[in-house]
Amino acid sequence: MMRALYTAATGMGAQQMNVDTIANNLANVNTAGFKKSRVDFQDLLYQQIRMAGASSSDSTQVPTGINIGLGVRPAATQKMFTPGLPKPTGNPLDVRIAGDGFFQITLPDGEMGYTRDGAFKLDDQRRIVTSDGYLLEPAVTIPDNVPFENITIAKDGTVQVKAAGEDTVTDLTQITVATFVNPAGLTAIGGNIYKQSPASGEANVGNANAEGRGSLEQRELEMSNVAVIDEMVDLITAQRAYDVNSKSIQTSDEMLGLANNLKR
Amino acid sequence: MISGFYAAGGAMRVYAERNDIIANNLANVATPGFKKESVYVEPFDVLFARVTQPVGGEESLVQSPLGRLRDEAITVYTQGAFRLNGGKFDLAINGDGFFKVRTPAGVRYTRDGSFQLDSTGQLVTADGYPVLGDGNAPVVINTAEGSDVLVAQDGTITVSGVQSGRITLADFDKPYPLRKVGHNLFEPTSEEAVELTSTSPITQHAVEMSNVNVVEEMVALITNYRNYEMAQKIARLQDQTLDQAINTVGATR
Repeated sequence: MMRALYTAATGMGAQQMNVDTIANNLANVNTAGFKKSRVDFQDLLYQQIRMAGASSSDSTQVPTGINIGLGVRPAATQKMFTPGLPKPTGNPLDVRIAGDGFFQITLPDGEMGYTRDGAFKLDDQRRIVTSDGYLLEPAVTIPDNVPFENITIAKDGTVQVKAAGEDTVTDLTQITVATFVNPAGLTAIGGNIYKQSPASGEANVGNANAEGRGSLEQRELEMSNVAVIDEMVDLITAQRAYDVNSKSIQTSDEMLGLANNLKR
Repeated sequence: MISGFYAAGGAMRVYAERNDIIANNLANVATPGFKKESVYVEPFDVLFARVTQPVGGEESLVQSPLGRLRDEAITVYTQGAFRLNGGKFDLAINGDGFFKVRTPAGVRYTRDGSFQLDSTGQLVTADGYPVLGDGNAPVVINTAEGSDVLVAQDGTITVSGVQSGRITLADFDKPYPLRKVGHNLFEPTSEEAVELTSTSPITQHAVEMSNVNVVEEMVALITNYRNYEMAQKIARLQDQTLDQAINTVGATR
């Protein structure tokens, strides 16, 4: 049968994946710390029908040959770690990483998770946790007599508290930040959390605001880095690319119909 | 038998093959750095004259359309449009030239500059093949000291003010002695192909889009379809002629 049918089918499949990715980006347009994904495409195999440079007679050569391509394939979905816009919230436990890095989170199975979503809360033991109740690593416990408003987080991650009715400021644990050689290689496991993978490299943990790690900005959240206009343009392009591949299939089908009609 | 029947059948085969090429161009309309295959579509009258002219001589109906199509399937290396707002490892070449990539099969060339870093800090393609720089060595970007990666137009990489290697571009004499091997890669068609260096400027945060023009391809798709249809009609006409000859003229009643 015609190659074009299968070629165009790969095109439609690829564009479908593209639309799926864009839909997920758009769905997370208001998710704090969300990083958009992008699908990278590659052309598929080529079928050599005539080799360039082959002899076409005793004294002549085929100048260009003929290669027929067999379609397209999605090569990767890449997380784009461009910064999201800051959104001031006034909440003392909202922390934004200005620059590179991730907060470390202890997952329920004991493994380490990484997130850019700094919308923290206190649990019943006054420990700093994520919205899902996962502990921030290193664990920070706010003493009982400290009002919520008296928690300060410095740019370098030092948590400082002032007990009610006192003037002395006490330093608690310093929040550390992890960076990766290839953050795009992290595995997204949902819940705004990433896990380390062989592609991302080992976590490089250290103080914020040093050695290339971003600084911590209290009372702010990092918004999603999804730009709605860009996504809409991509969505339109993807839909049209899908459309055009369906036309290839339709045309190929009609051609096969004509071939069948040769025999009356 | 009537040889025109085979000519028309051969033409149908040719147009089916052209259809495959157009379909591949359209499938890769969103593939970065993709270079389209050109399909030259002849005007209707030229084609009609060719298909209806007597068989024989140089312009043999059976062979010429096939041969021509094959010579026409060439890769068109025109510049694709840039898509901006990409990541810091998205690079696009403005002008002639190719990125060099080390694959298990040897050095290959690509125009797709949507690169990433691997876990060791090497600049790699989506398949993990290292991008080559000075001295054909893989480009390593050391982000330990900072993450502000700047790629200058000449390919020099600076990380937070510290120079960290240089990407070099390759080029070849035209017509390019290259063929596509998939994965957005090109390979030289012969061992003798001499690799030149290219000084075309590199643009960071940009990806070169496919150079496929949807309007052109759709027009080609329609024209090609109609040519195919015409060849089919001619084949049927020949069949009717044979029918007449056998069943009417040659009736033995």
